[in-house]
Amino acid sequence: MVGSTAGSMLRATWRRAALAALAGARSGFTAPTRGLRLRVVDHALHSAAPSEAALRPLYMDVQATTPLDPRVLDAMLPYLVNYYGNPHSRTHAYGWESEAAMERARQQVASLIGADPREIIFTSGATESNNIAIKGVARFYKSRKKHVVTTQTEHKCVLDSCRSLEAEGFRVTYLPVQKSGIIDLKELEAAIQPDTSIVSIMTVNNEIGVKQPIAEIGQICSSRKVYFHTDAAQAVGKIPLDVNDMKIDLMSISGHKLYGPKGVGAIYIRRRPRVRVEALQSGGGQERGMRSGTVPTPLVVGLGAACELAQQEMEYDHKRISKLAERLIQKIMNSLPDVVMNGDPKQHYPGCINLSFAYVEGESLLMALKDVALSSGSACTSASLEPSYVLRAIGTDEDLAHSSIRFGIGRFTTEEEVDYTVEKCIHHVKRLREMSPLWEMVQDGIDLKSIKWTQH
Amino acid sequence: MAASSRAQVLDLYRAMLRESKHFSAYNYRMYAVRRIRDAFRENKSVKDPVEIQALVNKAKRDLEIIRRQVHIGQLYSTDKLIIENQEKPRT
Repeated sequence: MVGSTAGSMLRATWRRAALAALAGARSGFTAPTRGLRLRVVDHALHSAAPSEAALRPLYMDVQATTPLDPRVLDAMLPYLVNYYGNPHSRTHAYGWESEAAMERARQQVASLIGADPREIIFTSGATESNNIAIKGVARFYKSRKKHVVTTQTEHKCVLDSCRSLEAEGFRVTYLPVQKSGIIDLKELEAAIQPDTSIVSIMTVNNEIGVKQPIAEIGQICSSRKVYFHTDAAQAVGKIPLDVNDMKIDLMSISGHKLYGPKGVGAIYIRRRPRVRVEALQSGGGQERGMRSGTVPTPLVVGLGAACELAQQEMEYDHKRISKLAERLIQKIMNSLPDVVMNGDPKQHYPGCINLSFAYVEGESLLMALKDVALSSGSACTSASLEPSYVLRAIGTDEDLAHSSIRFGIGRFTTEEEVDYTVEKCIHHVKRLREMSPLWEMVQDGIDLKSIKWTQH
Repeated sequence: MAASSRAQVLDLYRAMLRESKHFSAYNYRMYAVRRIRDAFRENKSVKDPVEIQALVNKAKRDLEIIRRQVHIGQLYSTDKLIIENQEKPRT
């Protein structure tokens, strides 16, 4: 066909032009290599066999963020190029078309969680949504209700919001979790008091992948007339959620955890019965007065597209990810002794696998696995050297907590990537254990816990 | 317009696979090829012509998306993944 030949020639010309531009402007313009400064600046642009140093690592850290699905980018681009109107401009077509796109996106998000579009408020991400939910509800009802319940394994933004509420005079109960990472429902019931306004428990934990019994928690909260908020950032689009079946009153959604853009999220706030929330951000009254500020149309269009895709692909993705997760765990557990999986193996989202490798230091294993992008603990806490508070909450031994690695499997992860990761992981764990005097002692049958380390 | 024939569906299938192999990003490329194969296989035994037409229309829209996104990916392409060196380019 003439069209396709012309098309492929055009493509080739584009590519040549783009590469030429890059070669010419390489001194100043570093966009493609800005990502990972692995390569030494050489003339490698056209080299036939790139050296090992120029290759990018595999991405196995989907809990930190996910790549944009190409279909999401395709939905967003028109609103970044041509349809750039402010959705709150009521007087011209630019505003109207932008508003229509925003409302379409709202419907897509609502449909994924079984909500009404009027119950969805767009925010800048799950952190903002969590802040709005916890601080907004607590402050609105503060004249009569001064108590908040949450868990010890929540995301930092929830814990920090609760801490700031404590400074304002609220009482907060941080529920402990069992060794499996799941809360004890009886403890939850005991913790709810007559002046409790809100219970906040995340659906799927971002570090160990544990699924909390949301439907049961929703049942308890609704029977005790307490609002139930869940941070569903890691769960939306991955497991089926229905805010009515599960009696959820508030839910936080994050765009960049479900193959959408970064910088956007949403909060679901129930209308029947109405949940009153004090707005955190003042301004022009956009988003029903809950969150003033121009709604970023391209980003929310991306979020909507990502939610619609997630609804369509949920079953297919879940099946695939479960199979790959099973493969990863089986291969590692069968080749290495003394590996512990953190978190309940059944009430668990398969795409987030947290393993502790005994007698191996987590940071050194991460550095050894330099060809795979992994994390030990969450991105928010990866700056500090302290072991993750989530692992501490589930009762992991100090030394095992330091040896944990989180493997993330997502929509775009391939079997080859899993196999490569497993192979490298096994190789390096064995190598690091060979070098470890603790491992030697264990091999000799010494029980490490019985050792009395001398004080110098 | 006549209902989509078997030949048209196969043409569409081949066109989508052919286009998807040009994704410069390894993860997108592997996903697209895999998803297209699985989707066509899953809907292999649909009999209702209205449903078939709807699926064909969706596939045509998806083919356009693939074309655009392959192009954009090539404009902004970057280094290959460590794993692309080792594995033979599977179909």
